[in-house]
Order: sequence, then C-alpha cells, then structure tokens
Amino acid sequence: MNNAVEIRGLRKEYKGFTLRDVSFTLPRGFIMGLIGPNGAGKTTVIKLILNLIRRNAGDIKVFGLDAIKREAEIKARIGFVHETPRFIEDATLKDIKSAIAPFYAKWDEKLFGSLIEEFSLPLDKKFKKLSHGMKMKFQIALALSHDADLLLMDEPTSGLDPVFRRELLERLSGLIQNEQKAVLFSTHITSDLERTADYITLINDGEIVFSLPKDVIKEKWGIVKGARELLAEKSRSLFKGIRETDFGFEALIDDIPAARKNFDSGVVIERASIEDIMIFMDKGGDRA
Amino acid sequence: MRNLILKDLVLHKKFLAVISLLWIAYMGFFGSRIHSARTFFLFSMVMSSMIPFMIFTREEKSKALAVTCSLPVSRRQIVLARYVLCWLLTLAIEVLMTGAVLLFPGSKQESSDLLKPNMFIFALAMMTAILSILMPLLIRFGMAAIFVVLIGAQVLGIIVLSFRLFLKNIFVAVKSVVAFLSAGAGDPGRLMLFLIVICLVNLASIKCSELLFRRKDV
Repeated sequence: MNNAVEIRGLRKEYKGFTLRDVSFTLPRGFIMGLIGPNGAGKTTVIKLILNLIRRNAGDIKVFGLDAIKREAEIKARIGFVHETPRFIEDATLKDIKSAIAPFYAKWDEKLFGSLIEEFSLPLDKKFKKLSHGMKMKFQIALALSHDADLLLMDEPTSGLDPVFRRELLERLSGLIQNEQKAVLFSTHITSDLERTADYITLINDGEIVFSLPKDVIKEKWGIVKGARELLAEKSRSLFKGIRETDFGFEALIDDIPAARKNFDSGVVIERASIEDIMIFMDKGGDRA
Repeated sequence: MRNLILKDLVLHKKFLAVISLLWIAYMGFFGSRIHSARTFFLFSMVMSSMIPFMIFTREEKSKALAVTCSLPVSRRQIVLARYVLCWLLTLAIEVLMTGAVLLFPGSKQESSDLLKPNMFIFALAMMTAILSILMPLLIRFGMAAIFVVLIGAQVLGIIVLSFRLFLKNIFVAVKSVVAFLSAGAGDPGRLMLFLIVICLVNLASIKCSELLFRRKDV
C-alpha cells in the first residue's frame, strides 16, 4: 500500500458548520500541507483521521487500514501534535514521558533524550509552567520519538520561533527521505508550505478547494492583472476569484496556458503564491 | 489496558497520594466515632469511589482526553481501563480506610462487625451501584453530570422521605431484598447469585459507557 492516508467523501456536521465531501490522498514519502482560513475545517480533518470525533459519512484509510476498525494498530504508527498541547497540567514532563512511552513498541529513549536536549526542555518542570512554544516542542519531541510512519500535526509551527520553525521543517523533510513515511500538517503560515510541502490541500468553509502537488500549483496557478475593459464574460469563467477596483482587476486562475491563450498582451500574468491563492479563495476576491 | 492504568497512576501520583492520605485519615477518625459498620461502609464507599472520579475530572479539566484518545488504544480499552482503575483504587482505599478505622485510638468499631461477610456484600453492592450509575454519565458528560446526579439524588431523597407512606411497598421490597442477601451471606448459593448479579450490572454499565464514549467527540 503506497498511500499513507486516503480520505473519501468525508463529512462531519456541527451546528453552524459542515465539513463536506472531503477527499484526498497522501502518498508515502511526501509531506502534505493542509491550509485554509480559521474555521475552515483543518483541525476537524485531523481529528477525524485520529478518530477523536465521529464522522457522519465517508471513509478514512491509513496505510490501507480502516481508521476505526484498526484504530489501535494505526495509531501505533502515528505521531500526533495537537493544535493546543494538552497534558495533565501539574504533571512534570518526565512523568508525562513515562506515561506515554510504554504505549509505543518502537519508543526510542535515546532519541527522546537527544531531542529534549536539543529543544532545551526541562524534564523536571511541570507542564503548566511551560510557554506555548515549549509545550509545542515537547509534543513534537514525543511525536518524533517512536519512529512514527505518519506524522499528523495540527499547526505545529504556531508559537515557535523562526529558527526552530526552520529546523523543524528541515527535520520533517529529512524524515520522509526513505519514502516510507509521510507528514500531514496544517498551518496558516504559507511560507512553511513553500519550503517543505510536496502536496497542498486547501480547505475553505468545510470544502476542499484543491488537493494538488505543489509543483502543479506553482506551474499552473497564476494571477491575471489588467484593465477592466479587458474583462469579458467568457474570460470570467476562467477565474477562481476576482478583485475589481476602479483601476483594473486582479484574478486568480488555475490554468496559466489557457489564460495566455484567452487574453491578449494587454494583461500581466504572474505565478500565484500559496498566500495569493488563500486570499483569493477566502474573502479577498469576489468570486467570479 | 495496563498502560492506560499506569498512565493515570503516574500522571496523578502526587494527587492520589495526598487525597488518599487525607481521606483515609478523615474516614479513620469519622468511622471510629460511630457504632454502625453499615453506616461506615455507606460513607466510606461513597468517598473512596470519588477518588478515581476525581482523576478523570482532572483529565477533563486539563482537556487531556484528546491525548489519551490519540494514543494507540481503542475507545473500548479506554473505558475498560477506567472501570478497572476505579475498582482497584476504590477497593484499595476502602481496605486502608477500614484498617484505619480499626486502628484509630478509641475506635467504637469492632473488627468482628466490619469484617462480616454481609458487610463485604454490602460494600460490593454499594460500589457497584455507585460505579455503574455514575461511570456512564461521567464518561459521556463529564463531572457536571456527577453533580447533577448527586443533587438529583438528594432531591429524590427528600421527595421519597416526604412521600414515604405512599412508597411503603417499595421500601418493604427493598428491605426484603437486603434481608435476603444478609441472611444468605454464609450461603454459597446466594453468594454466587449475588456475585453474578454484581458482574452483570457492571457489564451492563461497561457496555453502556462504551456505547456513549464511542459517540463522544473529544
């Protein structure tokens, strides 16, 4: 089985929010970034994979195994990092480690020790005494210490300083080199994705906008800029999002070659960054 | 399951040590001042069974249940581990409380009364009743449910006492069941029947908790 995660038709209903028909695949040996605005459903997707919340419909397979039927077996191969680190507040890091480590057959005490040292974490300190960044580092150390085949990380870089963030992303890139492991992480920080992700899944208002290799996005997605007079009804159908001002328009497209054919030399077409795409897909642009 | 139990013991070890010592000392004193073994077991069982509940509440307060559910265990295993931990802790603390009562200077309790088989049956019945009712509620709704039940039980108690004449037949039935069990404490047949009932009630409670926990979003 070459896929680390396969999700088909996933649905979760809350009051006032529904995650609708979410489908994507993360192959082994790759890093996928899950992006989207606040409340888009990123954490819900990660919680559903971990079976922390009940789905209303759909299938989740991890390493080809059903995420509910083979729950314990699958979770033994998952390293998780939650958005908000939560452990018993007045337990020391040492006690938390002692409580967590026996669950994992592949727990590597030596690696944990070196990560703790590298991250400058005080093992005798109570969890509640740590800053958010330190708590996150501790979670990351736990997730990395049992040779997990899949890392599921919900906003792992939030609260981390830029130096550590860069080091973490490099470490994640190093992990997948043997092509057996995979990483799925959600983030708001688009520069993290530009640097690390192989696949990008954009989720907005509970729906997947796209789930594509980053190279395809870089190659095909762009921003068209031009005067308003150049806008024609037929060209609007090419746009994923558009922003119009008195001076002209800016539009997001997902097929640069098609846009080049459609527009004459009066427009400028630039490659879209992930941030551009996020902004257009969220509320920065009126939908075409 | 062993790992789950050890996890809770390791993470709450200081809390457990402090609260257990306090409660054992308190019940040792309180229990030694009264004559009735049944009253002692009534209070001590309620108190000792609250200790594991406090552990689960601490986990709820820290919102650490998401971490437990992310570990390589099924929801069923989590529920089973909670029941086993409840039984182990409650029994251990109950034994220590009983010992404290007997050892407390000037104790009015007699070991011959406290260690009678019918008291053992009474204690088991109390424990089963408390755990089997409260655990499913705790697992599904958290500590808020426990408070609602405890307050509800007090209100119910007031209502029952107020209408005791109308509820006379129910009282008589309960009394006869208690008398039947007490009289048969030395009878292996009745003891076996009683233990089977205890097991069935616990199994039903575990099943109920499992179903509720499976539906819970954490």
